[in-house]
Amino acid sequence: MAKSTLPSLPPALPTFSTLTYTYPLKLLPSTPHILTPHAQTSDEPHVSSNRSNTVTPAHTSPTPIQPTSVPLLFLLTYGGGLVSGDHIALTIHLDPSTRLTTTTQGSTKIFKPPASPTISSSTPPTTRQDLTVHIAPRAARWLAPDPVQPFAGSLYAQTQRFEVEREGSLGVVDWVCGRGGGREGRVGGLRGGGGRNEVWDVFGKDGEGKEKRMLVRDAVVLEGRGIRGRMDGKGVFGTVILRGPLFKGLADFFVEEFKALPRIGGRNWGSGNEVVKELTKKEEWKKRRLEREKEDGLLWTACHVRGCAIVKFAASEVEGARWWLGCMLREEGSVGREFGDGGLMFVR
Amino acid sequence: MIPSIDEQTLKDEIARLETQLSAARAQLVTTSKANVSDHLTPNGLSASSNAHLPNHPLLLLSDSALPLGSFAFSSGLESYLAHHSTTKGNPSASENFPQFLALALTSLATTTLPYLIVAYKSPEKLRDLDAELDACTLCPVARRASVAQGRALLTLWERALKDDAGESPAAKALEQFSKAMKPPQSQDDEEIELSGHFAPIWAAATSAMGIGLHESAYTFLFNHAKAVVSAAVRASVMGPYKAQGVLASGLLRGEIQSAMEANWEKVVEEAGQGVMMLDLWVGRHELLYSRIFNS
Repeated sequence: MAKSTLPSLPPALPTFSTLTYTYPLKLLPSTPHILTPHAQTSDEPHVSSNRSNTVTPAHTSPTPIQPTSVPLLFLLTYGGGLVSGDHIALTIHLDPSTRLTTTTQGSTKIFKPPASPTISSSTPPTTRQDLTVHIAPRAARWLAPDPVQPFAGSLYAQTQRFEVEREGSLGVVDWVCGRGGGREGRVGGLRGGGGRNEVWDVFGKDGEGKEKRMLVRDAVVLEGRGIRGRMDGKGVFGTVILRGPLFKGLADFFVEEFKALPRIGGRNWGSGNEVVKELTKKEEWKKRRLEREKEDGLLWTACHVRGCAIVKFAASEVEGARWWLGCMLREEGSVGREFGDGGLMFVR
Repeated sequence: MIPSIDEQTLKDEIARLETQLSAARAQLVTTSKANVSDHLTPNGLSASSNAHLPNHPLLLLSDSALPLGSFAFSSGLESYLAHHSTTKGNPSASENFPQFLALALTSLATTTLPYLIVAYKSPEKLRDLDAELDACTLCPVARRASVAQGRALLTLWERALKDDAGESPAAKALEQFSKAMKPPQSQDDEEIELSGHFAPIWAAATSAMGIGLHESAYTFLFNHAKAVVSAAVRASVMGPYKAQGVLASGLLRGEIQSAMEANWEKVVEEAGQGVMMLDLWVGRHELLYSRIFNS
């Protein structure tokens, strides 16, 4: 069991009070993002992963402190992937008014269990990743990894639980894709598994024991026959979940852009003969984006539901989805501003 | 003294088992050869032949004329067709239909069957199950459909079905649920109120009417298949004879049975979307330029 603790630095300079991890997970802090004075919020994070992986931000100050920087934490796996039976359990705790950006350096591959030497009816162990995140008041977390990439024949289960206190903010991207092109590259190659993202509202006063209420559970179950047939030719699927004041702008942006999508099956009455009018920068952006959505077979939805915003997307290939996510996040701009370039590395 | 929750649960359980026991005894009486009487009903049917009569409540609840508004935005069919009409060389809508029907059943079973089963077995949990299912139903179009049907069934229960159903824990749970129902909440309201999702209410109503769990689950899925097929007829995907052929087919029966088997042992935490595309198709129903199904 590995354990590492970074010492705290003066207030408002985020540091990890606890940072422990163990094989096959590696937690790597990187250059923090310096916030300009007008940007809001706090201090620092506390991460822990189990077989023991943890992150905790060190300072808790009685009064809200505006953070001056946002640490960037890489979640890495040895060899860029997980084998059958690997189980990662990571706990991240953000103290009040702290902020944390988390990402990966490339997709997390889920390898196929080795062929059993004997004819055995027992199912090989599933690869598991469990993440628990606690976000204190005014704290904010942007979790934007590269996609999980299950190889054909792999078994994978992922559970992410986010406990968000009032005025806390959460932004998470969770996506899965097949490997490469062709039949092998389809998510449908997965032999079985599923994923679950839960957002819990945590409220009440400290001393009296806080109450928790489940706001949303976004669950996917892939098992049984004919998984491939359920994918309709898509090679990548994903969800973005947003909650809290720091993500309000981004949430509204997705929902408004969704509502403004062209109607499906509507006729294009103009059909090329109208006078070419000059497009505004925003119109240019949207035109280009819609063209790419079509080329990449990208379908998406966005809505506000139970105090969160949920964005769902699917595309033919992972690069199409990556382009689209980057296009949306950069245009709206708040992720880069509030969480730094590290928060956009996954769409580079 | 107010009985503790455990005591109450046990009492409810005993009451339920007693109801079942007396129902079973009544059935034994009618089936038993030793009890064959020559008493004739006005139709000339012997009471002994009751055993060969179909399950009356089941016939009632599997009727497509049941006012549940079960078009439910065509369960995603119309949007599915719109998303597949532009692709060149795509098979025709009617060729695609069996595939869509199988996906629709898989999705309904993976997302709701565990809730149906728990609500049937433990109707006292109806409110909690409704809240949990609401947290899991993230697609607004799917949520509107589920809540519309659940509330319609609750109204039907109140106004038409409950008087003949007698007393049972499930009937009691439905009554309490009905009382606690508040006016519809706005979509992003953070206060969790009762929604009235279809699957748990269906489970409680079928239990209260003496329908078995397997029959309840099968009928729930079959009714969904009927709604999708009838939407297909309305959308001119197929004619009425072809539609009945689909409903009569062994293929559909097999799909329903395998969907039941795959989800029978699951706890509600294990429920989830088995067909990710369906959330996209259903969610994008709102984007259709012209719609046959607006509810």
